Amino acid sequence: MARATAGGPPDRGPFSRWKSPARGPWLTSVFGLVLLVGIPIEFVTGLLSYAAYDPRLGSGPNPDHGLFGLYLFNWVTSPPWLYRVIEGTHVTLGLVLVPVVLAKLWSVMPKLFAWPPWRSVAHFLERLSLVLVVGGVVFEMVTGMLYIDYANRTNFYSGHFYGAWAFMAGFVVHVSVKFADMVRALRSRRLRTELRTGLAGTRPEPSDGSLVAPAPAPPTISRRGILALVGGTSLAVFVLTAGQSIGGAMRSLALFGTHYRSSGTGPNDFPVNYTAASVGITPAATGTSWRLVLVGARRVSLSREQLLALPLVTADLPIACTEGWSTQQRWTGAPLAELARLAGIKDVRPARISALDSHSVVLSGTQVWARGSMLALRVNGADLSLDHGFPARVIVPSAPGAHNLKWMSEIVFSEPT
Amino acid sequence: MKALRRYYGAGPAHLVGLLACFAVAAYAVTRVLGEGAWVSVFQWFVACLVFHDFVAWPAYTAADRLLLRAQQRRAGRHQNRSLPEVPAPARAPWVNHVRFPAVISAVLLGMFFPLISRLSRAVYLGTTGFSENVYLTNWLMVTGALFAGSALAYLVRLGLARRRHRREAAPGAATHARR
Repeated sequence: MARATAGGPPDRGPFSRWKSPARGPWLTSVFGLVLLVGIPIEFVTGLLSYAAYDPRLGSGPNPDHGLFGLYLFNWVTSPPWLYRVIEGTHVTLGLVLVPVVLAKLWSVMPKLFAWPPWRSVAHFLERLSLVLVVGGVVFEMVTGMLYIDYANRTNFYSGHFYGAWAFMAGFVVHVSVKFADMVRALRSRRLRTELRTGLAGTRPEPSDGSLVAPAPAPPTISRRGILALVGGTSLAVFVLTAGQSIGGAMRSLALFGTHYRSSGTGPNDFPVNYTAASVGITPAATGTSWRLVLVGARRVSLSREQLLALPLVTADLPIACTEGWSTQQRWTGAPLAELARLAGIKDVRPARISALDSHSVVLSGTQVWARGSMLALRVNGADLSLDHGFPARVIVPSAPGAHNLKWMSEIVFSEPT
Repeated sequence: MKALRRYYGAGPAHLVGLLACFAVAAYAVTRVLGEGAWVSVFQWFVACLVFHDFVAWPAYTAADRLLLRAQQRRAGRHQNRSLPEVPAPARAPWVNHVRFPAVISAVLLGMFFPLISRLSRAVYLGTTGFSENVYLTNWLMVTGALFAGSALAYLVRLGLARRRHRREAAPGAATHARR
């Protein structure tokens, strides 16, 4: 086998024209370390977000999870900001990590063309698992970005979910195999020294026989310059998107978020998810003839006036979308538990809620009876606008926005557990 | 154990770990096969790999090479004209002042392509109630600001380098003369 002979350059086969003086195990390991922290956070927040839909109740997207759903648990309703923080973190951190992933892939590109293609069965299998790692991470990023920007949403939930498992299988193996190398490379140079070294003092890392170019070109950027470039790109992505989850003054900076604009400063001028017009809701369907139907031990039909006459509660609660954007508002409405009692239901059990636009979701018993769960009639002291779900919408603390149905029509409390 | 090392090339933990990894991936594949449009999931997976390794990476590598060549050509011209009043440090390399805004702008374009190209304008309008047209303007504004900021930083660097050079070259600079 053609191996490196003492003193001579290692045999790199036909693809050996790598010239970049910047590539090296230290730089790769810095990117690797960032991803080693970031990717597990992405995986866990993703799993929690899936659990928040509680697919076991049978109404969420991608209910068919198989063994990958073994971890599922009863989704919580407290603290009320939990889903908002989890999903905001998942989407924002995912976007911020994209430049780091690209940098990491750039830094290990010579390995793709390594020669000979494999040295042993073990090495071959290892490279095969990298298809899962590289294909998986790019697939997860692309499906996520297409989804939050409303382009190509077919199979998002199943693709992103199963893709994440396949990716993590490869990721765990990759980390196990490379962890010692990463630690050794990180210890080979001091970050503080690197941050003080400008272009004039930059020399390529000592040859490692794979990442460092055999005959590097003169450096055109320092290692701290590359870190600043990648970090700066991540920072730009953060500033230009995070505001749609964090809200406040930062929202208007989220120039590449989908929900950074508002139509004014009135009580109903906060971001909308699906306008009434887009789902065919007309003022006629929500006028004086509108009734909310409750089905339990008995059937009750209530007008908006009758609902307003019930003992109402007010709470500051977020609506938080799977797409990562969120907004907290002050809602006033009838507790779902109160409506259950009106329908003759005394014990905690799930309920199927349905809306005029034929959307329908099953809420768990915990969610129906949670403090703060309500059929909201007013927001920030004013009646709900048609776009925000007039005459009435459901608000459940810490639930995905997709569970906060607008233009409610019916609640059925008799769903089996 | 020795036979495993010889014929496989690594220890038993390595083999078990990789087999477990492929088992999980294979199970994920069987779950996706149960989906209606599973073909599109695999198409996306392969498309992502191929696009990154054989389109995006060669493209940005080539762009960077062109940029470097342009800088070298300019540097060479300076040398030929041999301007004594503009020494090497005063001709601070400008290539990174192009790379920074160009990379950030290109990554933003790639990441938010569906918004910028109005790929999803119908859904976007129905979902948010706003027009998707604004993102191209946003991207151009951000790109303009990045290049302007980078150009400003370059001018400041150039000014500082020239001033340092003038001070060092001045006849009154006794400390330098003595050295």
